[in-house]
Amino acid sequence: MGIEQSLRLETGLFNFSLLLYLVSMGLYLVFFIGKKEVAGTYGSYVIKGGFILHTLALLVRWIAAGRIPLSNQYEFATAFAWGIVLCFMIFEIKFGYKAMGTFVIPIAFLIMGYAAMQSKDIRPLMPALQSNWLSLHVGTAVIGYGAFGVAAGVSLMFLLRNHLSANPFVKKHLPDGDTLDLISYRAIALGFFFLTLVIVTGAIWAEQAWGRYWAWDPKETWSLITWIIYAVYLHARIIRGWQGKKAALFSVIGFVCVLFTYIGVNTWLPSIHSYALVLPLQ
Amino acid sequence: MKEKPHIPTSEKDNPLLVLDANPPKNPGDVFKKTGFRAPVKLAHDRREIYYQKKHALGHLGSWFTHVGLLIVFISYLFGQVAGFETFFYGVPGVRGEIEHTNLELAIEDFSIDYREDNSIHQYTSDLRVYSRESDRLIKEGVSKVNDPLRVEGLSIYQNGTGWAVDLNLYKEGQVLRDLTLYEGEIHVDDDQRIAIQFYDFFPDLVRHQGMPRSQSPFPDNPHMLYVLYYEGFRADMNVVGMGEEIRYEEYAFSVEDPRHFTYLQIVRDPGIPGALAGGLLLTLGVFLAFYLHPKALMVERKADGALSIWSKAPKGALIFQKQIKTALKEGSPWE
Repeated sequence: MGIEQSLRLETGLFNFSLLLYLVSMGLYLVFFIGKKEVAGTYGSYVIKGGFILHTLALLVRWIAAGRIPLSNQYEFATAFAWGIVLCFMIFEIKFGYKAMGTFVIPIAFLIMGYAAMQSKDIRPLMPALQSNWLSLHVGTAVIGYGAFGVAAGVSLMFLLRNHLSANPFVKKHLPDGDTLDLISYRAIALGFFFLTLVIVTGAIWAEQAWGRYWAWDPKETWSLITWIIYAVYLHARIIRGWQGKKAALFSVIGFVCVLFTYIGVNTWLPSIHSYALVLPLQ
Repeated sequence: MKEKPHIPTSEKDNPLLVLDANPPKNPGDVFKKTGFRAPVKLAHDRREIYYQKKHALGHLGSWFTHVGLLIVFISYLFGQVAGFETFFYGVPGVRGEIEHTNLELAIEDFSIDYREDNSIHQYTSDLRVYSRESDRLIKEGVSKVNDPLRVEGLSIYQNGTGWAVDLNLYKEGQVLRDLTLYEGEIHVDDDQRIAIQFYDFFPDLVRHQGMPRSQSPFPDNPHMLYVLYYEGFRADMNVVGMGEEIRYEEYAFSVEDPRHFTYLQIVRDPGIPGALAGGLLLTLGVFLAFYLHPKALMVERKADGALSIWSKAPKGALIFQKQIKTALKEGSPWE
């Protein structure tokens, strides 16, 4: 299969998975707002279908490009959304609350929408990206950011919980505050471990590619800020017993930092990580 | 991790007593069903108590994390103080001293590997490192992007590139200077009366709407964009082809033999091994802290044969208690 055909196939799979994510998001909304139990079950099936197509899209691009598709804005955005959906499915299976989909899937869908607006061209890797560290560094970012996305969705759920009417349906499907807090904590603990890996592997790679393992590049600095925010969250939780609303707010702020580190830094701050730009030798 | 377990005497003494579980008759089964190794019987005068713990390494998580961070921080500071960074550039054939060392670096060759679409696949510098004192060859090798040449505690990185030309400067028909001029450099000569700046380079010059640009990265029609200063003032700015002569007042110059030069970054950072060890310790610490939750289980067989179960889990005590209840009702989720 030629590269043009592969790209067409990938685009088709991507668009179809985007559509399924939209349908799933709608079903989860109907489930939660319309109190239709069956819609939640279908939403769960549809998101899994979308995830399979999304995975196929990534694999087709991987084969067509001859490298792992994690090297530009489009590729990372679509992988980021994939990471959120993967983490969501794991947490949905583990904790069994479909209502999480109402809050988490819209985040994944928005990031897929952002990916859809980026150029899908497959470009060969610039020399600095030709490293085995790319897979490990960016792959861990996909999982870590995905887990933070789930944590943010669940924390939003926590913050909105008091504004939802306490009818039997909501009582049955909306986890209690402690459980929501626990799910968010678990997701942040997962994300924090992977973010640590992102920073450590990035530093090792940077030493090989740029001659410095830490250069206070905007991306590095904002990753560190994000890491510190989540570290403060985890410390405050253990030492000060922060739970509930404060913890949920911190989780949402942390995810805003994640989004800024990914989108804001690449868009607004000149950085050696801005691979959308053409740099002299990187 | 030798820790003498505390034996609770009442429910008040250990609030995490699992009260409403439906334990098996045999204490060993409780441990088996909840994913623990075979328990040890604690020495006690009157009570029959069994105990086991797991994931004790998890206690080290926080220590490893914070010590790892401290090591990274100290190593970074040490590297900043004790290390250095310098740069070296030149065309093939250039040899010079590496600052802050007793070494010399020779650029044997430099090449750029292009793909079919003219995008760059790799930059490669062939290098030789000599002892400055004995002129002995210490190391010979290549430096590529993502693959620096390591020698004597130094790392030599392929950092950049540009164009260089041979500049021939004449005054009143006599050769005043003959040197290699690098892109971005300005050559000042004759007691600052004349200066020539290598402003830009167009390897394959075409004019687009009157403006110069290059249609390929290959030197098929090479031109240099120069700025000429005379007695401190900018006197001329234009593109000049190879071998073409530019005259201004009593001076004239020409350029020839365009080729790439390599720009190398040379770093010595003695803090790197420490930072790496600290980073790995930090990662291990975070893993232990969040994925190896220390847990302990204590089971007492009462005189009437009934079992009392105590659980201890500093992180996630309630979840652990819930897991025990589930395991005892449905079989172990960890088996």
